[in-house]
Amino acid sequence: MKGLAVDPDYRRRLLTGVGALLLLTIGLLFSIAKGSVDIALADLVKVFLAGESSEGIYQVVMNIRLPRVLVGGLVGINLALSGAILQSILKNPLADPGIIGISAGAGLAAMVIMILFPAHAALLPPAAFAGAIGAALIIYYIAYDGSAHTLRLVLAGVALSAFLGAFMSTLTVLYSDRVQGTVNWMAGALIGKSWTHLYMVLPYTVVGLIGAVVGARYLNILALGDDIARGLGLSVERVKFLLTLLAALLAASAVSAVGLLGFVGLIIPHITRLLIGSDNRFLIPFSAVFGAVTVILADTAGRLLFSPYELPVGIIMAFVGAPFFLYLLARGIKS
Amino acid sequence: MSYFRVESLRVGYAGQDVIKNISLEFDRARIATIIGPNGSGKSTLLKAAGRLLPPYSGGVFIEDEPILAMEDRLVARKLGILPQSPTAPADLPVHCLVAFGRTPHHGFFGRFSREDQEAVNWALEATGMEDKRFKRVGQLSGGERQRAWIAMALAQKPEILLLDEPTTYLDIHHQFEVLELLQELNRLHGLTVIMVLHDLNLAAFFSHRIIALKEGELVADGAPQTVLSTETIRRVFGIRARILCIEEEGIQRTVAIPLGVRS
Repeated sequence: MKGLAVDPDYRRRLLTGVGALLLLTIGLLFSIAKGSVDIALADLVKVFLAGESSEGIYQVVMNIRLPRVLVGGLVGINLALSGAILQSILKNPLADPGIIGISAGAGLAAMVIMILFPAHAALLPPAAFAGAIGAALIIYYIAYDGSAHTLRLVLAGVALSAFLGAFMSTLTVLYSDRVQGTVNWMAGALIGKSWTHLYMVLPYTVVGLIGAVVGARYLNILALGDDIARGLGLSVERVKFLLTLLAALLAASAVSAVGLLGFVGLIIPHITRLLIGSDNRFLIPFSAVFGAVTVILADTAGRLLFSPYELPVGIIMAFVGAPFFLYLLARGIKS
Repeated sequence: MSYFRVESLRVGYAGQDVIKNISLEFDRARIATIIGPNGSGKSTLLKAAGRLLPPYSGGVFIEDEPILAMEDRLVARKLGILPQSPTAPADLPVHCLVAFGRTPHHGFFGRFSREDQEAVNWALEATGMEDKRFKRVGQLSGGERQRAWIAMALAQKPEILLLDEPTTYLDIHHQFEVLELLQELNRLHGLTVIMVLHDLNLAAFFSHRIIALKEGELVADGAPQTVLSTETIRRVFGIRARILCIEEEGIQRTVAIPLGVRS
């Protein structure tokens, strides 16, 4: 647009952008190289450039580490975008698909498919989407009256998550013979993610990223308040509805791939906002990159910290995210 | 044909009527001010007229066309509305805030044209905010912030501008500045202004017409000289007042001097 040269934010965004991409590259390489078997950078280069290396390393990189890291990155993007959109349209700094119950809705629907209809794995994302929408509608109905009081939304989300979680636990008990892997899934884990999972998530990430980048202009106008937005000719209700659908879609695709991975959508938009400001045209793409970096690094940490044991990435995110949530809550109560 | 009118308007919140069946016609290029005590429905009436609140019954019409049936963006090009004390992200630069006013013109995806840029520059200049264009909304004083919002509304280039207490937070100097700006826009560009004001004397000084509301009903409507009477002020606000007609700088002014509540 205009005046980029004089805009004091320009340099900051440029630097943050370069830093974020650098961090992403390093994170990707580091995450692929580290694990139960450490791989030298030279071997990695050989695998990627020449498509050859000693057979074992090639297998580890191409069939175990790379898909896992990429799935982590995509899931990070989806969750961060979902959180950024929800925080914006609900004008609630604590909004996150995990906290307000959208992930639990997606999770229950996905679990029903996994346990009761294991042959129809292709139905996972659409079912999770339906579950996420259902949860979003319930939350809107209970806790949203045009302004969505911060704590009311969170409390309703906690209650809804607990309620849906009870169904999930019931399922795991009743069908305990079919639930290997669900423990990891409930915690949000990337272990064993393959190219199939990648192809399952990828289309949603692409659609979600395009939708969010397009939606950023609307989010900016909504940030001025519903009255101003309406005065400027925006169909506020329709736009909010579509953006909620988008946020639910993004969260649902993440949940159907890796399970209940929380806090990414809460933390990332906040940190990104601190770094580059609240303009959604920048906040959205930067949140996507930082979301990917965070999940990839958290997963690597989960693999390395107690090696040979592996912590699911969701547990690492909870270690980091829950205190952050409490910090935001305390700050919100004081102000 | 009427230019802008609200007809048999019944509107409120949560099923409760705040405005009880009001019909008003507004002429082009006039300044009309709504006065009334707290809770009389001034803001509600303004919001309904600016289609921010859907009426329970009745309608709002621009040149006999019902605005709720018109395309949102088309309405936004004709009608601007500035609610009371709006908020913006604290780190939003002033020029970006003002540029949002161009939204109904270039659409959500259209490019920002030379015309858009000129409108933004003009609005910043008209409100005396050119030198603050790169300031953040959070860095502005209350008065500057108010002017930044008015600049946004001006950049929208509406024919009709609705403002809810545009002088809140402003000292007397800035109050006059804002109202003189609206008066100038009215005289030079034929802007139709409908606003809510608390100060009776400012209302009388700057308006062609004053509309007095009480408990959601119309109490008085007419030129400032006729509406500002001891009797009307007593009925609307429940205070004793004395009305003076003075001539200063060659202009006849009606001034209300409030005397007290207890009789």
